[in-house]
Amino acid sequence: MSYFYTFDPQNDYFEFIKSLVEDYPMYFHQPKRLADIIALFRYNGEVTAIVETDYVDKQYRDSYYAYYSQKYSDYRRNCVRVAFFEGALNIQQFISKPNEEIESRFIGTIVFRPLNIGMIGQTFLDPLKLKVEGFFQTCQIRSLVCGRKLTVRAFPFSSQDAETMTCAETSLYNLIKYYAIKYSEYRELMPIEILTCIESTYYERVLPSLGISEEYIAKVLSESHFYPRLYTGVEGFSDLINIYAESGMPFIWGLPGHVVNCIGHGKYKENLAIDQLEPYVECREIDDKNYYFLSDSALIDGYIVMDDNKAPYYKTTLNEITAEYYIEVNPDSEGKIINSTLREVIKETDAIIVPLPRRIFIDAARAKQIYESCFLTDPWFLDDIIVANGLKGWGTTPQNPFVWRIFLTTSNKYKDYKVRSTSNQKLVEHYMSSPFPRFIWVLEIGSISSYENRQAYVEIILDATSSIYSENWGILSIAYNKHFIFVPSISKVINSQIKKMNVESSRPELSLADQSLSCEWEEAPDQSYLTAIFHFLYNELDDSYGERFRMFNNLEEE
Amino acid sequence: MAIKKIEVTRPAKQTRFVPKKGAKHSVRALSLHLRETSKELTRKMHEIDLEEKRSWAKARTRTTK
Repeated sequence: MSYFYTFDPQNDYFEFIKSLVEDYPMYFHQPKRLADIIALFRYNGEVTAIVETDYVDKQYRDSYYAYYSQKYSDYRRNCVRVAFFEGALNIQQFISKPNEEIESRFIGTIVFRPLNIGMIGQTFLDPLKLKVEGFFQTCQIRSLVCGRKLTVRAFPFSSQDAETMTCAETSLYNLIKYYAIKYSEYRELMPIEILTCIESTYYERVLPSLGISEEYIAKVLSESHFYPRLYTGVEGFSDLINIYAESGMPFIWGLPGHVVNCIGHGKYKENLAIDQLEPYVECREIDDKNYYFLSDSALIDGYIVMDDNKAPYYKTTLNEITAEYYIEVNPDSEGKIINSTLREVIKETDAIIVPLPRRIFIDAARAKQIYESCFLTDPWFLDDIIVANGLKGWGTTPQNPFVWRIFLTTSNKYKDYKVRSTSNQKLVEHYMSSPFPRFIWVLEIGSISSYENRQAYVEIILDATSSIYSENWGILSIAYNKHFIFVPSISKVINSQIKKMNVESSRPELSLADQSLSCEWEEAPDQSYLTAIFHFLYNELDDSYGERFRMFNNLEEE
Repeated sequence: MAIKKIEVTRPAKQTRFVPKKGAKHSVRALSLHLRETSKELTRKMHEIDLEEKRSWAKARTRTTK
């Protein structure tokens, strides 16, 4: 049976929730949870809620048959699903209006389970229709509401029932579901399948669930055809969170006694004043000279997480969310947490588990290290980009630091963006015709002012399938004002040239000029390939790249 | 009708690499500099490997979520 309710989410949401509690008392044990979600509705007018009773929710059914059906007390098999639409709609209008119009008003659906704890079941709400701002990932969800096929873009969300699914299983379920909907190589795992996966190597029973530790979360992801990486207590942990969030790769974030899904980050801050950013500027002394760096994490307004204890699309920061859950686990510490203890807490308790796809051999920690060693701490390179861009004081004063951003993306997405956004014909042809690996790491360096216009000066691409042991350290291309090299296109030339020089150096009949060139190579230590790359970069001018270029947008703006 | 083959994009530029005399950095200096960077990078990668091993050991002793 379906019922139509119309209410104003700003004023009479309480009346609406009250009538739901009265009409379906078994399904609304935690009305506050629904109120929190309705508070996110952006629409100012009336909202229509279509309530479908006896709804079969596959996630709850799975838990029901494996667990709830075996209890002495009665548990219902079916759920209630509520679909929300902007504006007042009656049955006649709902049936007769074209699909596009109904879809344009569709906010999403929430399933309500007949449980005392964890009444919010599978929830798919369009963040565009909620008060959510930022850059994050969503997938297209298809649902049938009252006989009409509708689609909505959302990230899967649900609350934990604490018996078959705790926070870890809920996060896993939603994360795997997201990837399964978006990419054909993954398959959705049902709650009990997740537990069975753990059971094979676990020494205790898995039902009722007592929670999962990080290594088992990684194990489940592994079994689901991901190639996960687990980071905890590692150097530069906050940078890793930022890199993966920038990469548009939703991941599991372990907190003190809790787990959430991180799906992206908030908006870029506007009208940035340097005195606000100065605490985040990092000074590095390289060859008796100071260089200043700022990670782009200082410029974004928090991360967007799916926390099963809160409403979906919750915006928070690393410090905020860690302190919140640390206090929940250790109530005595309330009011005593200071920055230094928080750093320790993050190091001790926070973790991220990233479900990397296959063939990303260089992960974020390694990519960052390559960028750090070869570019961000290399005075020759840093001086060259300052000179090439003619920006005096850039990177050498704390007021004007190098702003860097690292992310992973697919070459298809990247090329598509570049071909559309680049005006230089030669460069467009390069992106049209050059073969790239499936996944690439990108480092963009800009200044605070260029970032405000979403522009950068330097772009360095790494081949994610490479390693530091390859002769080019995985460097695919380096580009800044009037300097551009694409390593695969010059590798043949370099290889043949090096080989030729090695042979010719042993021939006495060479001209003096040739001998001097060969001698220089002979004396040079063993980095000839890389030397050639950087020699090319510094000395061969190429006007493909201008002073600034538009930054790549890896995430969908909501 | 004869089939026309139209080249859409230009082939990649073939550049002859010659280490220049009096270039911004001499080949030898650049090579030495990169060798040092390479050594440092290898050392840092080993550190990352060790850190990640510790990270797994830590995860095994952690409470459940």
